[in-house]
Amino acid sequence: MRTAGRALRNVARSPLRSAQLVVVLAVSTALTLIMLTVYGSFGQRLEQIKGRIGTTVTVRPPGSGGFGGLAIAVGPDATTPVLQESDLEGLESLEHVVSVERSYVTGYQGDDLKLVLSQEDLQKRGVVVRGGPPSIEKQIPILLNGMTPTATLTTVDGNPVDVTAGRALSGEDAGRDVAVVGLDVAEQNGLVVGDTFQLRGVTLEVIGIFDAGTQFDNAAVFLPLGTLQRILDAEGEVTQVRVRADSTEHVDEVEDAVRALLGEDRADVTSDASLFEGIRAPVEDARRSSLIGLLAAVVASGAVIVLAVVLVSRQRIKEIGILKAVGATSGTMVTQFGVEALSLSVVAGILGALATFPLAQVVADGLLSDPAMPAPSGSSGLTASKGAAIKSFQVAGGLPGHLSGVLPGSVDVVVEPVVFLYALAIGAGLAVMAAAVSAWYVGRVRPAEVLRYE
Amino acid sequence: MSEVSHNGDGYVVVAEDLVKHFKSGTLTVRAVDGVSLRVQAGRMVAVRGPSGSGKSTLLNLIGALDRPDSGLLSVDGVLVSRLSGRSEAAYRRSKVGFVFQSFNLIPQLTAVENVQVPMDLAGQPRTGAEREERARELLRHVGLPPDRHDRRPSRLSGGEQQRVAIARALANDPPVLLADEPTANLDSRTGRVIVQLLRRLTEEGRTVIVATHDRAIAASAHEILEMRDGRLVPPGRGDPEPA
Repeated sequence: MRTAGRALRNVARSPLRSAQLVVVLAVSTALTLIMLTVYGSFGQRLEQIKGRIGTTVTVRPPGSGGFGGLAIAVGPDATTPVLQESDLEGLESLEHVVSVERSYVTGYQGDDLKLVLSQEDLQKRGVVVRGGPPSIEKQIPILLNGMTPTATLTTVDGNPVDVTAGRALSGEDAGRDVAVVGLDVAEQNGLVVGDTFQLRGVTLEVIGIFDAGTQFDNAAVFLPLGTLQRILDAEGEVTQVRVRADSTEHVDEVEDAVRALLGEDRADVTSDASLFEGIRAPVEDARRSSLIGLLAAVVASGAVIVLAVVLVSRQRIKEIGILKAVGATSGTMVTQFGVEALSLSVVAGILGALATFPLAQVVADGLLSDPAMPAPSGSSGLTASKGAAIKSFQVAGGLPGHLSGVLPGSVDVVVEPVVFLYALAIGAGLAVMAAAVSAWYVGRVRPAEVLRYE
Repeated sequence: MSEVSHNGDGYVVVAEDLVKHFKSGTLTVRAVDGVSLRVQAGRMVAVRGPSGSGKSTLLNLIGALDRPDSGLLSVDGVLVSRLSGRSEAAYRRSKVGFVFQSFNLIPQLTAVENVQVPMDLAGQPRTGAEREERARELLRHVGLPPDRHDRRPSRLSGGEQQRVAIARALANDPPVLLADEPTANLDSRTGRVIVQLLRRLTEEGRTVIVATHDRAIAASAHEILEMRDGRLVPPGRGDPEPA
């Protein structure tokens, strides 16, 4: 206790030397804590990303859009790229496949159903309208989505939709002339549940109305796959197949099996896992950088304390000699140096922890390079042309909706109060290191040698 | 602590064929080369000799600041030549007090705190207040005015610093006081005062061994030991008689 008191008095009585050491140690400790925090945040983000990797393998016609894209033909002359159902036989029997959902998605623009958006609405959603003079309103295509009736209603991005009136499709609806209509389509065409409407000469009953949250996603109509195929004279054709694996671990295996079954030139086969590679890579790079930074900071902190102790010991070698000459044991000296180092490193640790709060996010942003990823699906570009030139639009360049929000453009770094505990632990570690170095140094000091030369 | 008894013969310091050599490059410096001596309790002994004669090394060996290469050394019943580690530190705390030529006070501590250090290390007296009181008493005893007690060494004169160093050496009431050229950094008048102080300590029963090349100090000692080239030699012609 007397030794500790003497150590603390020494620290207090050499304010300049103590302040210099505290500043250097605080910088090292702050770097360590920042890197530790950032490393943890990147790790959490990676876990989040992994947690959102689905088990779906998507099969589309070749060239229809590789990265979550879906080419949709609109108008009488448009040609929708399709897959032949006969080519898809055998998917269900592949190992680790639990379900196969077929769908036929195409755009419709005609007199049976209309959906008009104002230029302002379009521009609000970042839609670039090319060609011709600006007009007040635009008629946009309505997405006809023929789906396996038992499947969950989702937008083309994969986001589930809310059925706000009536009901969704069910297994009993297979082949029936029924439809679930988007809210905006229903409102602009005066449809409610129970009403009927014509589509290419077929009368369809509205059994439900859904709200997907946006006007674009509400610009859709869900029908049983067989019904839409019949309406479009497209029996045996689909535009997309979703093959679900039994677990995330088997997604790659299922993807390879599907690709092998269908052949490289007959379908584009993608999975969430492959999509995520582009997302995960920059986060992992940044995480690796933060780990290197963490190790460097730890090494730097250790080096700083070792050098500081050696330097201070050399400066105070006469004091060590005097204390030993009047009866101090090496243990007493080591305790004194250890307590001095502990007090300085604890103060430095607290300052370092305080610096972590404003700086951790800045460092994380700096480490996370621009992943150059396409924009999230919510702002995907919808490019339209005027009049008859509007033949197609591409809902492309975005991630499936269930994956949105995981783009690594930024990682939110939350600095928890536990960093103060880490700071204390670092301080204690540094003090132990300082004690070890001083023990080595003090043990070598012979009073007669250091007091001989005046 | 190893103990041998010398109570019967009254000698507090006994050295037999003490040797300490240093390596300096390829040369061997025979700093202490077979010294044997006996010092009675309560005496002031001056070890005299020119620079490099080995007197400081002899004091360092007696004070356990250095270890002999060979030979036997006992102080107040403790076999110093066999000490190491904690027992060596305990010996320095309790058996000897050392006064250095350049005072060797800890600069960031006040005079009274410097005197307290050996007591802190020994844990005696038990409380901090008691130790401080004893430190002030010792400072008064060596003649340091109370208004200097709380000054740091940098604000004390050379003579005052040496008084503090002597008070520190007396802190744990050791039977032997070792002083290595205690007046070398002082003016002659202050030096005389310090010598008188050291001499007075022997009247309290303490043994004082002073290494010096100052004839005046040697003249104040009860006994003079002459050193040449690491060996004790008979006092030279013209040296003053022991007091």
